[in-house]
Order: sequence, then C-alpha cells, then structure tokens
Amino acid sequence: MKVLVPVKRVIDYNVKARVKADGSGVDLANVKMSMNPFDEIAVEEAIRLKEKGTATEIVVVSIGVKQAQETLRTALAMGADRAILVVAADDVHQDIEPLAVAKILKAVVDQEQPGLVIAGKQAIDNDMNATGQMLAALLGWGQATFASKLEIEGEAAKVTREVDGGLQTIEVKLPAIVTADLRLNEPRYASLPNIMKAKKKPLEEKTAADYGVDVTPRLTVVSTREPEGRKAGIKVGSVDELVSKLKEAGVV
Amino acid sequence: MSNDPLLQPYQLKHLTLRNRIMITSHEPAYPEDGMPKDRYRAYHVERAKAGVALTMTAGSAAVSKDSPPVFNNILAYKDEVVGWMKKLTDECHEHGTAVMIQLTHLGRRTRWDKADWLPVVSPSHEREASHRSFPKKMEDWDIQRIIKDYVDAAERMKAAGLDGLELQAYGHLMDQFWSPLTNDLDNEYGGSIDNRLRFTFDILRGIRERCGESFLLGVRYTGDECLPGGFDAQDGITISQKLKDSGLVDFLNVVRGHIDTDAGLTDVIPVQGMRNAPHLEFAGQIKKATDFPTFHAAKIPDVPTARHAIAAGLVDMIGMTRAHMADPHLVRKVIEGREDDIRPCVGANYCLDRIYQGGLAFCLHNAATGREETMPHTIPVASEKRRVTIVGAGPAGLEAARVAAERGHEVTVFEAADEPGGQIRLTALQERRREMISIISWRMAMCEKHGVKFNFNTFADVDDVLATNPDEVIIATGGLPHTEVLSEGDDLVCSAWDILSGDVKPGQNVLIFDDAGDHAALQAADIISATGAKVEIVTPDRSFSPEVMAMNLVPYMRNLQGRDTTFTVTWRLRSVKRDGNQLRATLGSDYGDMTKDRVIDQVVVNHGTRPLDELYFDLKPLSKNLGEVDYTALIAGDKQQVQHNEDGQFRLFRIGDAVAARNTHAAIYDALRLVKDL
Repeated sequence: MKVLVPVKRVIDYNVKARVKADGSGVDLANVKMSMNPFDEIAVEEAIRLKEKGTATEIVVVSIGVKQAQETLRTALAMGADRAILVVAADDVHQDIEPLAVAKILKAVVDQEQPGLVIAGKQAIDNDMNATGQMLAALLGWGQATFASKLEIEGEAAKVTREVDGGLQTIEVKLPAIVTADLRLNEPRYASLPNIMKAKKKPLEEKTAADYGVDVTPRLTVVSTREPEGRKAGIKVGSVDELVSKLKEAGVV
Repeated sequence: MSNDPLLQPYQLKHLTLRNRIMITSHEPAYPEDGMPKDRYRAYHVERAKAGVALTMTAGSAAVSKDSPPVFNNILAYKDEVVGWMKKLTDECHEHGTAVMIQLTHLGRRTRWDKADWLPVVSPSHEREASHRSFPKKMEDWDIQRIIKDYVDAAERMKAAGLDGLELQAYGHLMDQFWSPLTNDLDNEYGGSIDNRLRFTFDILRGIRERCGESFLLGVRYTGDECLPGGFDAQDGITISQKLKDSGLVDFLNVVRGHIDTDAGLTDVIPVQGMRNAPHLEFAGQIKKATDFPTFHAAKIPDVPTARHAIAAGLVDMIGMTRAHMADPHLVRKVIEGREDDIRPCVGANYCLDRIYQGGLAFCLHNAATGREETMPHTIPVASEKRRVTIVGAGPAGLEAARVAAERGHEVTVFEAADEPGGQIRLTALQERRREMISIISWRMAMCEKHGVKFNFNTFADVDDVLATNPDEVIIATGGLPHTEVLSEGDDLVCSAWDILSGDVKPGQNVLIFDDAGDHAALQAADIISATGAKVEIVTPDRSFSPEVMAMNLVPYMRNLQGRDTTFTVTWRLRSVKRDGNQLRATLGSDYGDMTKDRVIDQVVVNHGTRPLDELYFDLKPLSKNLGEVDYTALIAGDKQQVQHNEDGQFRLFRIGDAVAARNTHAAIYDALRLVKDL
C-alpha cells in the first residue's frame, strides 16, 4: 500500500512570532521555518506503517513556495521514499488556502493512487483544520480525524480519536484520509547519515498550474494583531487597600 | 535601588557584601609553582569586575607539606604566597569584591608519592578509596604541628589583606577527626564529639589569637555524612551549634554528603541530569537551627533558584560557582536585567572532571574561562565589517557565528539538518543529558539578537557558499561515525550514533566495542540496557571510558550496574561474522595472540568520527589562503595573513570535528580563537 503524506512549511514553533508592520500577517522574512509538527507526526506514522510491512511506499507532498523543498528533504531524511513539490506561490507570505491545497492534493491522489493519506490535523500557522476534511469530501473517501492511534486491519483502518471527555474508536474503509493528533506518536530524529542518504531520493517539482488549480485567495485578512502585553502589577499593603483597588478597577 | 532579593547587600560582621551571590571555593588548578599568579588573578578579577559579592579563592589551599596537592592547588605553607594573594586581593577589592580563601590539610585525601614524599596522615588507618593512600595514624606531634601550620597559613592570608578565610571540613583532615568512621584516636582528640571537634577548635582559637577579630572566619563543612556509621544530619546540627557557640567563627558554609568515592563526591557536587539544588533545604535547616550566617552552594545553576534561596531565607549567601565558570558576568547581567543573556551552566562538569585528572579547569562551552589573559569574555567589535559564511550549526559553527556576529560581521549559516545542534543535539536526545542543548539554544539566542541569517535543511555545496559572496568561509561540518575498523564484518556493525538517533533498534544481546572511550558508547549502553538487553562493553584500554571521567561516569554506572551490563577491558574487537541468525565476534588482545569469541545479536562500534570535509576540499583551491591557518598568529592572537592564491575570493578555515574528532570544548575553542581576530 502506498501512503501519501502532505506536509506544510510553517514558522518554527520555537520562534516568537512578530506581526508585520502593515498588519497583513506574521513576518516570515528571515525567520526559522520548519515542518508543521502535526505533519511530522503524520510522516512518522507512515514510516512506522512501512516498518511494520503495511506500507510499501511513502510519498510526501508540499504545496507552497519553492523553499518548501527543505521541508520535503526533512521528510525524506526521516524515511519517506520520494517527494513532490508543488510550487504555488513566490512570496513566503502568501498562504495557500485549504480548499486550493485540497484540490491540488486531490489531483496528486488521482495520479498516485495511494491506499491511505495521513495528514496533520491542522497547521500551526493559521490553525484552519480544514484540508484533510476537504480532501476527503473532494475524493469521496472516508475520513478519521484527530487520530491518536492507527491500526490497519485488512481493507480498513481502525482509528482511535481524541474527543471531548474520552476516546472514540472508529473504523473507516480504505482508501481513507486520517489526520494526526499530537499523541499519535513521537516523530523520530533525522540523523546526519539519513540526511545524506535523503539527498539522493527523488524530488519532483510541479506547479499549481500543472494540476489546473487556481490558488487565488478567497479570504481577505482584515487585520493581524499581537496579543496585548502583560501590564505591570502593583503591591498592596493591606486587605482594605486591595478591596478598594479592586473596586476602582470595577471587578468587585 | 533594586528590590531583587539577590541584589540586597549582606552585613557579615563589619564587612558589607554588596549582594548575595558568591563564588564558593574551588581550585581551577591554575597555580604556577603552587602560586596564584597572573592567570589565576585574571580569572578572579574578571568575575569581580562583573559584580560578584565575595570570591572564596583557592580550593583546598595546602597548609602543610604532608598535604601535597592532589591537583594543582595553592601552597599556603609557603611565605611567597603572600605577595601573590595580596595582588589578587587588591585587584578584586578595587572592583568591590570581598576576597577570602579556603585553607585545608587533606589528611588521607592525597598521596604519599608527591612533592616531599611524606607519609599521609589521618586520625585512623582507614584508607580513602579515591586517593588510595593507607594513612599513618596521627601522633601527638603530628596534631600540634598541623595546628600550627593552619595558624601560620592563616596569618599569611591576613598579611595578604584578605577579608577572611574558611576551613575545609568535608572529606579532609578536619572532618576526618569529626567522623567516627575515620577517627579511632584514644586520646583527647578522639572518642566523644567534643574530643573529635577539639582539633577544629584548637585551630580556630589559634587563628583568632593570631589574626584578631577583624579577620573573618568560617568553616565549610558537611552537615551530614550520608554514610552508615558516619555523623548524620542531627549530629550535623549539633556540630553547627557548637561552631556558633564557640564564638570563633563568623559564618557557616554548609554542604552535605561525603567525597571519599567518586559517587559520593558527585552527590555533594551534582552533575548534569541530577536534580538542581538538592541540598538547599538542608542548608536552610542548619540556618534555621543556628540562626547564624549561612552560605551554601551545590548545583545552583540558574538565577531563579538562587533568588529563591535568598528570598525564602534559606541561606544568606548563595554560591553560583560553576555558573560563574560558564558566565563570569552573571551578576552584571542580573543587575542590568539581562538574565536571558546569561550563558547557562549545563552541568557538563568538564571543569571539575578535568582537574581530578590533573588538567586545568575549563568550561565545556566557554573557552575564555581560565584563559582570561588571551581570550575575551566580551567580544570586541571589528574595525571592518566582513561577510562571514559558516557551514554547520553544531557547537563549532554556532560559536563561530556568535563571535563573528558580535564582532559586527554579516553572518550566514548553512545547516544540513532542520534544527541546529549537530552532535550536541544527538547527545541531548537522551533525557539525562538534555541540559546539553542549552549550549545550542544560548548561541541561537545570541545569533538571533545579532541578526545571523540561518539556512536550515541545506546541505551546502560550493555554489551555495559562493552565492553568499563571502569574505571568510568557515567549515564546521563536523564528522560522521567511523566504524570500519575490523578485518572482517564492517557491514555487520552499527555505530553508537545509530543507537542514539534511533536509526537502529537495540538488540537483545549486544557487544559495544568502545575504542573512543567517550560519552557515545556509554549513552548507547544506557539506551540498550534500559530495554532489558544484555550489554558487554569491550575496550582495548586499561580502564573503560577514559574521556568520560570520574564524576560524569557516576550517573552512567548507577544505571548500568543495576542492569545486565559488563565491562571487558584490554580486549579489541577484530572481526564479526554471521553465525546462524546470530553474530560471532572475535576479540583479540594488544598483549599477544590471544583471541576469544562472543556470540551476540548486535555489535555497536564507537570509534569517533571522520571529518565531513568534502566541501572544504572543494572550496580549498578557490580560497586565498588555500585553507592554511598560521598557528603562530592564531596562538598569539594576531590576524591571519596567509595568502597563497591571488585569484582567491575568500579565506577558508576549518574548525571542530570537521578537522579531526575531538570534543565540544575543542570545537568551541577553535571557533572563538579563530573568529575573535577575523
């Protein structure tokens, strides 16, 4: 079974995000970018399926700017077999919206015919949580979102999902879309020897136009603001003073 | 004025200490001919300038000739020490730092085959495991002679203008008297607790009489031996009370535990992966019980913990000693509200482990410590801004990037992985060694501050480097494990890195051939044995893991000895063959033609790294200097002037393991030493 894993290049989770002066979004110029952590979990799960003998080939796909090939190289170093880069933007600040991504992925799926797509449940940059679901709808496949456990049993995938108040286990017929939650696994470290091996793995470059998909944004960003900074506190000398200050602040 | 508890002054009798942070006594082994000369003074003055309140110089400065230093300590029994200590003290005083010194007689904690070849003495014949000497049991004249030696040495320190001193009493002669385990004298210096303390009080009384009330006196002692048959915490409180009640001391400096074995020493001075501030509460109990000035240090690596110690009133002065080795300007950064800029102590304990092997104390990731005369702690800005391109974001590459950026250069870094760290990142994957990653994260924070441009996931080639149009190129690409050391079967083994990274799953019955003797083999053994597998570590060396050193070995042994792990020294892995579904390893010996076989299911080879130097050699013909470094200029701190190729567009340098397999300190020193003059 072939497994397809879409991966997104996002601002590194360790970076303190700064908003651009014009409020149009987060400043990504000269900022460390990494693979979306949920996508890393998806790649890891695919590799584990391959190690178990369930998966035979892992194809990773990234849609965005040309630099996304760095993200694909990381996936290859982790253990994916080949990569497809779909260049759909020139400016690092242009986010490709979930519907466009899902349409391109559908075209890739039609071509590659994977038995399973494992995606991250959402990207940590815009938190849309939509691509996996949209792809399932476009393909007419079953979907199992927020997976914390995945088992392939014959022609079906048994998926444990983290839902409010507990765990839900569902079964979906393959082919299907599974989206990975935080506790599905702990992604492996891409070691230097494997990074070197990954240099020789195939990386195919395409454009959005190759798949006939229009990536023009349909959403308009009205404004982006940083959270308000915490204001300095004061020390009060007595309970009475505390009460009067609280009254002044209108909270009691 | 600041309301930071750490920055409040402390009144110790007549002496005002300007804040609550001190450097506790530790011997970095910098003396020359037993004297604290220029290197030693520069080390303390650098820290005084940055605001530390009190520096307790020396560590175990020797008061007697039959206490020969086990590593390079100050010889307080020589009159010439006065001049050197005066110079050091005067300079620290100029910067507002109080200066004291620790005096001691090592008793049995030394060797007889040193200096004057005098017999080692102790109040019993009990041998200390660490230093191996069988001591002479002290006679009356030994006791009187040594009491006088202490008083004479104290007088020298008073003459040198010091503010005071402390006497060492954990593992040395003074507490060898205190402990029932090491004192079986049947005279007035043995038996009851008061008799066992008599030696201490005789010395304190002698010093008081000779040096007067204005010379501050304290004792740095263990308040609980943590040994069956030794004195316990309750006895420790009694001793503390008696010290206070004697009226002979002005402060108590508390530690806990025993140091007669490597493991004991490591519990007193914990290393990486062990808990922080393990004895702080105990020191607090002593302060509470005695209501007397109390000092303490033991793995207080960070400012918040130190602040808590003071704010909670646990102690009066908090020691941040290894923290000051990592960052001499720690106090200044606290004062200036720049705590995030403090270079963190990662507990690697390279400093202490080196001195016990006869080396100088160096900080694993601050190559300027102990080299204050030649290496800067504050990087001077270059007169000319240059474009510096660095390949590799391990410790060497990041130190080069940090130093170059602080010099004001325009810096670009290429890194093959998606994260910085190189081999440090691999090391820090293991929970117990994760503090190591601060070596990387501190440098990343400094690089970010100075606008270094990073390109991750980029296995840089010549074109990538040339595209940055560099003036200087620094190759810090590290190396890859070298495992091809067998006459047969190289394809059947994996490297220690493969185990650390998780690329290879641990076997059930594993032979680790450790020819490098560094952390990687033990980390692999730790990971493999934790799965319940059987592990045999084989080394051709006479003892195992020589590069790991005494205190760093302790946490490994605590894991490995509890599991199915054995060590085999003086055997060398020769070949590996398939044997059914197992492997047959043949071991040979450097001593003769002996061989023996092992049937196992996995062989791990730890044999260092070979440089990843392809890019360096590709760039070499294009460079002005053809990669050559002028070592004379490098050591002298002069500019590199080598020029062989007039068509060259840039100068090319190679640092760290990209040159040859060494360690983190070598990588960082390579970088600092080269880049500070670029």
